[in-house]
Amino acid sequence: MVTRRPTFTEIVDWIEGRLSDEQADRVAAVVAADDSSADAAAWMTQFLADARRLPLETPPPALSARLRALFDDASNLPPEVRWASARLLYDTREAMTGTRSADLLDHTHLAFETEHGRFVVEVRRAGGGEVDLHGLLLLDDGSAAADVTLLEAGAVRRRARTTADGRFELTQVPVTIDELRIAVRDVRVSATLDLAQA
Amino acid sequence: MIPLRPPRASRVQVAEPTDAELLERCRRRDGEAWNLLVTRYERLVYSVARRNGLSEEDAADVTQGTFVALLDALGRLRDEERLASWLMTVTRRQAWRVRNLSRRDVQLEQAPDIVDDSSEDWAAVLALHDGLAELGGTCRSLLEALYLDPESPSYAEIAARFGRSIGGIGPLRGRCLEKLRAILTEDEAW
Repeated sequence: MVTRRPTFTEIVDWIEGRLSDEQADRVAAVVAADDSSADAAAWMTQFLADARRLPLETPPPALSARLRALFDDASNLPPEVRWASARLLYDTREAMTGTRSADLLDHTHLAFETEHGRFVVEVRRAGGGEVDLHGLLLLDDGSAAADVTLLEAGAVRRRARTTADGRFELTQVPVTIDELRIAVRDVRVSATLDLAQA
Repeated sequence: MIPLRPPRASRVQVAEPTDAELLERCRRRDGEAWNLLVTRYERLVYSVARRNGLSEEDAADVTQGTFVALLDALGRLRDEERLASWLMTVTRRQAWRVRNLSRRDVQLEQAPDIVDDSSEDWAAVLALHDGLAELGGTCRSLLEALYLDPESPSYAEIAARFGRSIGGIGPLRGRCLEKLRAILTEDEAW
């Protein structure tokens, strides 16, 4: 039974001719009178048209094997990216108490040192198991926009781009994030983060 | 026929890695990540080459060239959430070159069919495949099987491949399309 405003699935069924004549008439009447339903029908029509433009052909098995083998040929690969580990210079949680304290994470500063320069991260508790991060990257060979990536157990979770002077901001970051990576030009730096005490 | 995942009963429920995660693993010389990327995009790249008027042989060469270009660009790729459109753009560029070179050597009546989409149509197709990439998982596989498989498998065939009832395919398809619509609308591509 079609409701007064059809669901998206009912509109899809209508576009694809899967409804009975009676149901189709009802949907058509609503679509004619209701902007939201008309938008959904127009989107689905456009989707079908675009999908028809590029059906996905399966390549020959021999090609698939060749594509996979490309990775085995070292000459195809760019120079291996080496990630330098950043060293924690100071953590204000430790500086104030001698040991890390959850109570002090409302506003914490972390500073890291690498062979390419330093960076600092201000951590502010945002509630709900999340923090806001504000950072500043200070490279030895001058500032440049860098990619900042947050990871959890090796999986990419968030990304940001620094300003030209090296500042970045990532808000509402889960405290389960445990690694921060910075990539700029040929510099690759990885830092271990400990936000879990927030 | 588009290969699908095995039925749910025999499937381990783990989150699919994103394109960005796979690229990152490739940078660390993880061959399994490369194989997953190839599996995810070989049909798309090959189809773009064929769509641009190449023979099967030339399309295979261009497909290989595109994946070599991807390897070469591993350290430079930035907007990794748009890998689908990056691959499609590189493939289309290479296909044009091959097509224009080969046309010098063939008679006009022997030239393969050429389908030139308008830039607006092409942009919509790029956005669609970026959206599918972001959608990922079962939804992406289902929508590709329903709408992008040239063999147009029936609901019964698709239900069998996905280990679901025929009656469950329609509602699932509706939910997946709704998610895709949200992604594409958010990107303001459509």
